Amino acid sequence: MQELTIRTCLRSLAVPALALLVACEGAIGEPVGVGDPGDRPGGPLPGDPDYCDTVDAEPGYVTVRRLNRVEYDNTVRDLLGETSRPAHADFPVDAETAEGFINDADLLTVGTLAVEKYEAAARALADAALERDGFRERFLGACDPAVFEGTEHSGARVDCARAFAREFGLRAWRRPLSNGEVDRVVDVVVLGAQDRRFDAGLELGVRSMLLSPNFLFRAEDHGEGVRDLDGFEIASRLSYSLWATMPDEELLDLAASGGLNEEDALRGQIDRMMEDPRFDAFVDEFAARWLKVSKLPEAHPDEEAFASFDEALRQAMEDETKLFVRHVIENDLPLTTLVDADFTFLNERLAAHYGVDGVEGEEMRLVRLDGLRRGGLLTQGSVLTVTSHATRTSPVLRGVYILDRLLCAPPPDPPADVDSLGEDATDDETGETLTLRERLEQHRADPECAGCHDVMDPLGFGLENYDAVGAWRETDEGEPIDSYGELPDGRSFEGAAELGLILAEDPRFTECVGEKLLTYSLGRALRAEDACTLDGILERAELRGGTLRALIEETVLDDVFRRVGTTQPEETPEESR
Amino acid sequence: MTKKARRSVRSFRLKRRALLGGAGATLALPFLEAMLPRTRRERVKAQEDPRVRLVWVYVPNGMIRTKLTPTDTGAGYTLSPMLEPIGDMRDHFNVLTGLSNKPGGGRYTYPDGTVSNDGPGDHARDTGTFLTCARLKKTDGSDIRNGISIDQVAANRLREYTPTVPSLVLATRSGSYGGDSGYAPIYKSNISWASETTPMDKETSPRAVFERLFAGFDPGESAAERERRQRLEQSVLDSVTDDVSSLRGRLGRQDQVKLDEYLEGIRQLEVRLETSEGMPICDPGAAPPEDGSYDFLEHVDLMFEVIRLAFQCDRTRVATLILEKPGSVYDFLRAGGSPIREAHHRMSHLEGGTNDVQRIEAINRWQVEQFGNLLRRLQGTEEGDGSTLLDNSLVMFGGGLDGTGHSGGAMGDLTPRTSGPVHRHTNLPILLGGRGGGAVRSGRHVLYERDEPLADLYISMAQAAGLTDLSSFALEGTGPLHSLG
Repeated sequence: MQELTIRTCLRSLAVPALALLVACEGAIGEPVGVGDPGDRPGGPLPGDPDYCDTVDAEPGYVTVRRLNRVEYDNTVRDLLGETSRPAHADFPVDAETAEGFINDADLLTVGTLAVEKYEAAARALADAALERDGFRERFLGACDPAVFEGTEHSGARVDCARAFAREFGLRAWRRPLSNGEVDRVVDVVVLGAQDRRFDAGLELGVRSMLLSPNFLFRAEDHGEGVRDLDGFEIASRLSYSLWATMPDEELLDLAASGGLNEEDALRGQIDRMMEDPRFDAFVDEFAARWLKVSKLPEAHPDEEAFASFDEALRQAMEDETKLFVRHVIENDLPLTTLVDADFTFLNERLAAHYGVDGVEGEEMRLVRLDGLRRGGLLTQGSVLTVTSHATRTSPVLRGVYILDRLLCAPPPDPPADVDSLGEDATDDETGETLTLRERLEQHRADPECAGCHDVMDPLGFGLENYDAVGAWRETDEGEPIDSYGELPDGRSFEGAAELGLILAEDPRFTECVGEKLLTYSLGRALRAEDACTLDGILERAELRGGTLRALIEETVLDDVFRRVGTTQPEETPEESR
Repeated sequence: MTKKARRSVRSFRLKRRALLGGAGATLALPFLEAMLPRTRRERVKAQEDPRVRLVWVYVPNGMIRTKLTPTDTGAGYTLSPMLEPIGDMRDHFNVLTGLSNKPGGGRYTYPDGTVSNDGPGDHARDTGTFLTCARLKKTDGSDIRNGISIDQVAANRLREYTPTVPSLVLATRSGSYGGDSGYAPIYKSNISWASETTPMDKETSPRAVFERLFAGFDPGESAAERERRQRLEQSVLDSVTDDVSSLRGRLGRQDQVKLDEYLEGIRQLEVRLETSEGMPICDPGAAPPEDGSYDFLEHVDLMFEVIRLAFQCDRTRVATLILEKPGSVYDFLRAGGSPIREAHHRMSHLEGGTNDVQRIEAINRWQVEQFGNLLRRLQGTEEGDGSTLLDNSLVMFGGGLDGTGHSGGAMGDLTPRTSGPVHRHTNLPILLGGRGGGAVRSGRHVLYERDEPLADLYISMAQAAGLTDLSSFALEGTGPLHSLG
């Protein structure tokens, strides 16, 4: 049961109007992940029309979440004013999900090496914290100034340590401390200040609180059955989903007063958070990872074939997509704008690369397009580059990207015995060099391969006017580009603009964005039951104009985000057999 | 060694502070005989610590075998073209041909006869099972399952001798190396696994490794200061341990695993605290340069050097290194007159015909040369009893894939599409450097003709290092590999 993938469920919930995938599935057999009906006696299966009426929409339970490197760095920035990004510099790299996210609670393991790094970081951060402007004012304001003089133990020191534990603890652990927890911190502070100045004790206290699991992990109490999250738990879910950092003072205040449990106040906070500069982290951690733009630094366009590709261009490409997504959210534009926009963000360098006139200077700015050659994610240099090989484009990779990232329908595995596609072969009989299209067509003549390549390849061919770094081209190796594509259902399209329109009309695109967003927001793999939750979120977002902003808001307003249950994947060690 | 230094050496248990304190306390000695109170032979006889080090150097995507595998066997074998550049080391390594790691296959028959067919994903299984010899659970979600890797089995026992750094888990590239055909990226990105569900974090910075091995001790610290420091640090660790206990009661079953992992890390910090004295004298010399101040080739050398240093100073006995990630571009190498600009993995299926064969061979040749460089480095370090570090190490180099679309025939056989699975998990490319303190007779080409499992080789390696009672490993390891000694 737990093995059923969300994909299975969503597929059948979708309106089967545009049968992009029918041929692929039909050719390969059963969709991945469909369980044996015998596993589960009685009741409709995920995918049956009345499935969602029968399941209890249990919000599920998320494993205790370790802060990932980005969250750690952002948190110490906001907690201590530390901007040196210690986690980025020293901590082990966090594991990625297949979607590219690094906030999956189960995959965020805690190795001994990592704990060593946490200890070293806590030590260094504590050492720097006491010296930093504002630290005393923020966390030690209530203390008698005399405690900072001399090395004598005193009752005032204990009072100050107690006040500090509560003030600093509320921020560092993102919730009020219990009396027992306060006592533990006080003990450490007093010991550290023994025969020393009080600062030495505070430093030790800060160090212990930063090494504590209460700082390094986000934990939600695991009770009996389903319960509403408390204000502080909601505050952390909001802040780490939308900002990838700790809650700010306003969120903590509202958490304390119960305000975050009221829908109107919650909506107000979400709006505020989306206007905040910290919301950039959402674009970086959700959108850039989902769209693979985060992989741009790893792309290695061939130095000879693409001599113009350099760091400035790479940066402009990355900025373009991020600014573009942020703009779609900020201006409450329809989700489908992502694939059919008539604008983008360019600076002089990127505009020249695209062949767009009239953009001068390094500053990225909004540029209206005629919508023919450029418009939407599929025509952006970032996406086009990360879906190319070093020396040439790959219609296959681009097709897979569209299926996997934009339609959440990754093609099934290639049949056994075939690892990859020969894109640079010559004709076996004549020895003549084949065009890319000819080579792929040859490949598709193999009936085993055709099922999926008939779907993937034409999608990618629609983008052949863009070379491996996203520049416009009319020819490839001397031959005119043919950007004609045909879908298994017989419809044809010409070029990226028409392909973008087809995607914009496909309900699976919207569903897919919703699926990725829910996965990211919860920080866990989706379960079959989540398909019903997602259904509700999509419906409500649609009523609000189907904008990306509405989708984000409805996701974090949903019960699944504000409540917690007990359902976790079962331990099934024998499963792999 | 100066007389003064010699006098100060009273026993095997020297104060670590005296030597790890940096330039001020430098003893310009690579090794002190005090570390070896008796000869190696005597200690082995007495079943004492054999002080054998284990290294695994992993290369992805398999290797082309036509120019690697020698055509004849035994001690007087003829060097193959790819082995020629390391011919000077021929007495110090074996070529092991014919070993298999069948749990890495798409189709696998368990010892009990159960058949599992997981289809494509040979690259995830190549990396993921290389040191675990386990069957990966095929999932692209977070419900991953592998097995503990041999280096961690060894480290868990040998930590008795090197408690602060039980093992080094190194790579030249950090982060995720990408998913593969329905396998989560975590499989293709890690060879060392602490448990079924948790890979060991990779370290990529030679400087950070060096600092973890040698830094953190103040030679000027008085006994009183040290006592106070240890007491304070212990209080921090006690406090966070209490925090874990409080959390436990509030959380679910799955969470306990995470808390256990965390607590294991805290315990390791306690070990560091307790053993901040008692380490043998060794001068590690200057720290490696800052990250980013060297190129890739220098990076590889620096990784080898920190391994050598760690072994020389007996700071750890176990190390693994992922030499490169599967998708890397070797543009510093040339083939057919031009730099290699395609990604390694993409070329490894040899679909580009002769071009790809030339390019992959150039990569494989370079990889073998790196193996030679590591051996030379270890061979150049004397242990004080007349033996070298290499004599007392076992350095396994290789990968978990056969690597080409042919079964060792002529170049004309390179037709991957028609020859079945392109990458096989049998007939693996394996070189074994060192003598393991006498456990292995080196300088030979050994041919294994019955698909003997890699897991058996791992049992042999672990036994040489002191895990003498290890008689099985993973799915297929049932005893030490024959014909090594």
